[in-house]
Amino acid sequence: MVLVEKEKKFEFRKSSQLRMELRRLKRHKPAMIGLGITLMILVIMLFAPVIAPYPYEEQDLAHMLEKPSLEYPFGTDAVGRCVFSRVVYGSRIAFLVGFVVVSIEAGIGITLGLFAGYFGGKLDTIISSLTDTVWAFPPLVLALGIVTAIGPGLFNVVAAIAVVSWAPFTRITRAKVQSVREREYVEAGRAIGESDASLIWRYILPNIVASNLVLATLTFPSALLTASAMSFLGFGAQPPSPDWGAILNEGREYLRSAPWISTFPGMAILFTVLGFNFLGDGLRDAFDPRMKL
Amino acid sequence: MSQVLLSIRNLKTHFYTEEGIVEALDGVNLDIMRGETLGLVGETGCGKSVTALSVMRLVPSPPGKIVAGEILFEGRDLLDLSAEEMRRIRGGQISMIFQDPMTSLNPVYAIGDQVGEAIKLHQHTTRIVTWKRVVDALKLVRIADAEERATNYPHQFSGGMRQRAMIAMMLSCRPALLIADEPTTALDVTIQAQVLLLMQELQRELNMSILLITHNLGVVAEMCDRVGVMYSGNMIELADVETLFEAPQHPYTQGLLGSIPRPDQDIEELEIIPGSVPSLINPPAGCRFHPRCPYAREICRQEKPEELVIEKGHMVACHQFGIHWD
Repeated sequence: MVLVEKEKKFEFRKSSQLRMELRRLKRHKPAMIGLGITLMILVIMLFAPVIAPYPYEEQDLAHMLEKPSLEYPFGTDAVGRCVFSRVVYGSRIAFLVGFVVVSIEAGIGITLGLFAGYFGGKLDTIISSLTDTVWAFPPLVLALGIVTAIGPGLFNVVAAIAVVSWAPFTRITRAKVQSVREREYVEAGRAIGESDASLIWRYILPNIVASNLVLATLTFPSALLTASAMSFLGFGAQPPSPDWGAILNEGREYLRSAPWISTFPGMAILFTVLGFNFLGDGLRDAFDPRMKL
Repeated sequence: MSQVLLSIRNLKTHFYTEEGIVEALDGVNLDIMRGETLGLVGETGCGKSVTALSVMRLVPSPPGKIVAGEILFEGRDLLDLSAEEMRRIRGGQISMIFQDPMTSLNPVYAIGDQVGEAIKLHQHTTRIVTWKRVVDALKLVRIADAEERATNYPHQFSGGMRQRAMIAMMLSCRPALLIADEPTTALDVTIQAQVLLLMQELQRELNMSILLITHNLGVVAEMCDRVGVMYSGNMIELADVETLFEAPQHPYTQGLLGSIPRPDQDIEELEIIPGSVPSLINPPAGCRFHPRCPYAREICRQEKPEELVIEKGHMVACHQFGIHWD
């Protein structure tokens, strides 16, 4: 009996703001296309060993630089590896890079933004100047500098990108916190005796999640692009890793004779970025049509 | 009845802005008895809300700071308490309800969770007990279907219901003092009456004191036992509600009462008080009201009037009643 009561309550709760936002998201066509692309890539990533016809590093020296065919849907590269299999496996690297970079950026950025926005004063001045300084650097150049210093490799690239591009999260969070902080329900929270920690955690953070989620969705593709660019330049994932940027680079020499090597990973990057951007725009419109981001 | 619950002595709250120091409270004195409703009236910017925030120690700092005075609550000076001790007082023994019920509830939590938060904070109850008390609190403020309504979110409540939910949240720990900062200003007139009536009933049930801040003199006449009139950071007149409405003594209070329309009297034109509220950054010397006062003399320009008790329970801060006037 008690259990039934509880379930009923849960149902009631679900008919809330979230449902309204989901409905708005469903009506947003580009967002649904974006979501479709994203989910498709997610499925490809999860089932890579099933989808890919060959292991990504398997060389078939009898079939080097072969055109796309039934046997090799995207053709083969200079050492006879299946480009299709490599692109499929590459989605794993792309997602991992994007996810880790965005998580680190959001972690650093939101934390700093919360402190700067909530406490204000000197702390705000320090954090804001730091943010402005980091933001002033072109991320690719700064990341290249860092990787040059600590050496190439995917892990270093991820760390370098994350460290140089958390600034947007701090800015957005700080601005949102400053406006949410002045709302009466925060004052009311204080009036019932809440501590700073629980005011931040329970009153402010939940009300700034939406804009950060949108920003995260829009940061994901840019992180992916930067990581691919660095791999393309030879600083990121090292051979024989099937990183899309690295495959692009491997195909560079054969652009005329075997354009498929570079074309397919390039298209993979394009679609992933496009999908996430569509999804991000849709989320923004769904959460708050007036949000400026 | 006549036991003092809260006693404010010579309270000075200043705001340090780039334009200069804003002397928002310039030595306010005030006593609130147990079980009484004290009204605080005055124009916008006279220091009513700052007084309330000072008592809660919620004056935004920076730029605000309580620079002098005492706030004795049940004999303890609130200004001496640590932040931790003060947090236990807030919501537990002194609660505050706000002007705009549309924005005073956190949109991401269900009503019941928010009311429950106040209970959990001060009474450390288990989840089931908390929920039971939440439902009781919502029933207390006459919310129908309290069990179900407790799971609703603020946007599913109307303005009047939100304000009642707010009252439930603030009264859930049975505070000795409730500070209501214009609790009905943002509500429809019909809802205003309901909310005020509810507050009166709950006051009797819980035997609490109310500090009611408003600029609606009708609400004051209806609700309050005593009224304090503030002007530019000073308490200029304080008396029981009949005396204040029947025989106001301070020129400002007279002007204030003359400026409300009264259907029972045949008045051609409403009185107005000439001039406007002085800047708090460079307030006029002497009595802060003197530039607008029809009776102002030399002494008013030079000396700040003392708070004079002209009869039992009737305080006026005006030189007219001083020994140097005649």
